[in-house]
Amino acid sequence: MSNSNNDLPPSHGRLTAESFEVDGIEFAAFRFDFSFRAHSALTSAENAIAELVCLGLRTAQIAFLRNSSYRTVANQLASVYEKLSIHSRHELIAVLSRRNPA
Amino acid sequence: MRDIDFIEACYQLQCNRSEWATSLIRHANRIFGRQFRGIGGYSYELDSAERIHVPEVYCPPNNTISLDPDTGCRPFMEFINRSPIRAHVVASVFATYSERAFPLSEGPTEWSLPLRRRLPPGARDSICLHGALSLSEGFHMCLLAGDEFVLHPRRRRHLDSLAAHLAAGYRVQRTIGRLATADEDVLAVASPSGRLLHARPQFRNQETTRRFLSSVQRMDAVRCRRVGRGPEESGAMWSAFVDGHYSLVESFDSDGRRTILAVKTRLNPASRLTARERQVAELVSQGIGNKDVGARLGISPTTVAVHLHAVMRKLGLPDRRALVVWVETTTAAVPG
Repeated sequence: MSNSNNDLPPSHGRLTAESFEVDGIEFAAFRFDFSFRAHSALTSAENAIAELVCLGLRTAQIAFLRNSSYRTVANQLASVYEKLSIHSRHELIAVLSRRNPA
Repeated sequence: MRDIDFIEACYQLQCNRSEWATSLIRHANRIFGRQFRGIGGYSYELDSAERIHVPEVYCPPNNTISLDPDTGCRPFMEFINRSPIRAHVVASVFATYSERAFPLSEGPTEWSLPLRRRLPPGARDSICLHGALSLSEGFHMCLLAGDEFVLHPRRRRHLDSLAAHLAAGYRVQRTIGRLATADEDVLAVASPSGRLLHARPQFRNQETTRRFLSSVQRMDAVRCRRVGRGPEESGAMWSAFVDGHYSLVESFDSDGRRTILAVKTRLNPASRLTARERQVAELVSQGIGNKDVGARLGISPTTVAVHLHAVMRKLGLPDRRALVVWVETTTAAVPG
């Protein structure tokens, strides 16, 4: 579980955030200079996790956001790796996300 | 039938909810000469402050969702309005058959404004009617006063219905608070004429989500004030998102740019923990072992381990070390 902490990629390029408020509830919209391609071999949960990985989130953070356990996310991520025959977050980003020309 | 009969029937039968409702519906049928069937839930608060919970209310005879007020709730609401109940209904959504999940003590989730206007002067407050359409299917769609309804977002058909409304130009108008079990806030969708649809912004159906979000984005003209943030502030917001101060609504591509929509949670991440869990987490983060923590709190080390496990799971932490860091950062963030 420690393999990923050092190779967190600045994958998401330029980030712009907007916030807007609807009747006192604050929303945030984050926009990134990349597009994410959902992979048909992956389940929706796996795709969701893969995307967050591509955005540079750590497993624990993903677990928190998805309200699931750390191990669940780690297992799902392992399954993503297996399905795509890859071994690292870098490869995942290479497979699933595409940087847009600025 | 005199209206007072209706009230009396209410009192007589309040201990037996289904009978109560049956009676209510029977009266309604007698008045209107048509078949009402009711399944759902709402409650009255009478002037005497006595509360009566009614598990079943009206729904259209064919047991389908009807958005047409004339064939929908309106006749029933007229019936209610004619009765001398100087009462307001403190209906909490889904209250009756999931009181635990949606406690009535939370108060009304939403008042039915159109109906309030129809009430005679002197009526203490409004009537707000929530009726689910089919209990047997676990169907939690709620009708409000004939021209509003609440959705149970886990139900596919509700979402489809919501999507249809959004496609027809309904707008997200405002948030209406939170369902008791949900971390997320509830959004209300409303047409210009004031019809409301409510839904949590977390959909499993992606198409629905997309439409919902595009509807959110179309709101600028109404109430939504957008503020673009500079790079630093954007980074700070992103950190806040990553740390769980926002919850993820949806991510989608727009113009080839990945967009993440998130809603600020009122919940501090720490508030997911129970008091005991927080206690245990604090002690453990001071480097105290499970045994000593147990001795201090007067519980067994195994119990401590269980609490600790719950803390780790809730916060998504891998180990004790991460817990220490987490406690330090959160207590630093919230001084005092």
